[in-house]
Amino acid sequence: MSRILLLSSLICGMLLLGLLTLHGGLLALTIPPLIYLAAALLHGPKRLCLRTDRSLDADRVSQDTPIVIRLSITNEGPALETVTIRDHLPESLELEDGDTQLLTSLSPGETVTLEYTVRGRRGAIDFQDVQVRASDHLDLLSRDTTLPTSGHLTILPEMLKLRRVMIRPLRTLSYVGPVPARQGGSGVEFFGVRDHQPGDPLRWINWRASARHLPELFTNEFEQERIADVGLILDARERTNTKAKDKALFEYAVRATASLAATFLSDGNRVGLLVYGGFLDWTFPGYGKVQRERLLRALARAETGESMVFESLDYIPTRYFPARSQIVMVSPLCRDDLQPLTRLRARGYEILVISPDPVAFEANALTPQPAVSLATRIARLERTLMLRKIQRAGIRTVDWQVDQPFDRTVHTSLSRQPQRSRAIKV
Amino acid sequence: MMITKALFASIILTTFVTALAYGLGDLWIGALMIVGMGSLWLLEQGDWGRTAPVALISFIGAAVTGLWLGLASGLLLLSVVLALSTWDLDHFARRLRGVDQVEKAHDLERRHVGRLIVVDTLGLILGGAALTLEIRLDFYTVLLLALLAVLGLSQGIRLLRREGS
Repeated sequence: MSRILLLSSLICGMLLLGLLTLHGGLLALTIPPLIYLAAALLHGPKRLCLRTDRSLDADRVSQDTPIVIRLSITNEGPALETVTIRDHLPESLELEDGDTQLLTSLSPGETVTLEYTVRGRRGAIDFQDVQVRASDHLDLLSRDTTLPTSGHLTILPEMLKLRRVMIRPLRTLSYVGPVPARQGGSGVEFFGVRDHQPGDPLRWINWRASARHLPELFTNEFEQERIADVGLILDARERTNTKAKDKALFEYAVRATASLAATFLSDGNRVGLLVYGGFLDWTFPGYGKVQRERLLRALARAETGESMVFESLDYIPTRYFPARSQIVMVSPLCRDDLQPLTRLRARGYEILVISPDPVAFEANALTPQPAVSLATRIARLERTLMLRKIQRAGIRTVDWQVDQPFDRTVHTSLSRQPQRSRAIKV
Repeated sequence: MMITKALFASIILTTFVTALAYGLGDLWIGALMIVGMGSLWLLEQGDWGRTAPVALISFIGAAVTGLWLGLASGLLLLSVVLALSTWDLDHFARRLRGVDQVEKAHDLERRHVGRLIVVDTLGLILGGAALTLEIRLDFYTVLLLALLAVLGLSQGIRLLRREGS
């Protein structure tokens, strides 16, 4: 019950009782509450005219970096006897220092500032409105208002340490880079032998082959190295996102994607990103630091979602990815994913699947029991079988147990040559 | 801190004055019940916050009953004023505790107590004057006054609540 309602009911009750019983003393007893009420009515807040201004240390930070937020409120109206200011923190932010609530009084033109430090998890955060409650000293009458404040913060995903990842798509771009281009020319790796042509450097002449076929001369050819188109696909389907305790496997997938994006971009490749979940969030391919920032921002806002359409990988829009380019998919994978991946491979894409292991992730969070152990073994067998089938389709896979270093897992798994010559049967 | 001390002092004083009025009238059971209510109010200063309204209703109810029973009206008026102040201080103390940061806390406390003292003094003076005055009214005037009082009060509160929201 609100205070004013309680007090009014008491006054009404006493008045009625006094008048009905014709007892003057009872009427006299209503005078102190009436004066209390009258004082509140007299000094109650007339109107609220407040201006807010929010400033942040930075609009983009990496995960767990402290950010100082300052919220200034200026009174542009009449004096306010007591003002309660409440700034609600978004869920993904954690207050580290300072206060988000303040009780004060505000004279005309006076400004108060709330300053606090927060840390946050990955995400794109829009700050909510500020709630203000003004009242008289007795707090019987109040005015509540919500003041709009602008403020946007992007908390970028954590990036894991990762060395160069070797990829070998069927098609490369025309600029020099680190990706073997399957074409003879200048490079490092031996590619083949061709007839000598005037202008070829003498040290490139293959003397052994030339000696066998005198008087012809033959020149060594090396494999050209160029940059490539890399399409990253982050699986954000809710069905593949395993959660254990307060952790989600999706967060590891996001970190892996961020690391891969940074690595591929630093090698000079053209990288695009598709977040495939409740909807399609597509970041157009690009090069360099600007593209790195775009991709990190897209990953910062990536969330898992459910959709009837995108429940399976069948609807990956292949027109986003240039023909015969490299696709890197980061997904824990589920049973139905074998066919769509095989079809992608059959279309000529070179596919690399980075799969955070949901079985190990969930098993680590469970209490060891015989039933859990048995279930883990069955799930492990099913997953191993599925990964083998995917590998047989000529798709390279990295089975990443997220408690293991990502860099080491990737390089151990990719140290073997890709099985390019496998026949594809869709 | 000042408000907490004032609150405890106010609860004790309210209980003492009301119990004294009942004690002087030889109504010891009533006095004991009032002491019990006061003790409960004193002990319950946590986050529940439901004791204060119940205590205010109880103390005002006790004052009204005491007046009906012919107990010392001056003490009962003082009891109502003190109960009202205690209820106010209880709410103010909770407000101060309910926010992370209080700016100009000393100033806010001083102004609040100042306003309360003015209200209490006015209430005591006017209430005391009303207890000593005697006006004779006929039935229809009383009925009209009652209707006017209830309607006026309810309309006023409704208007203020609408403006407030």
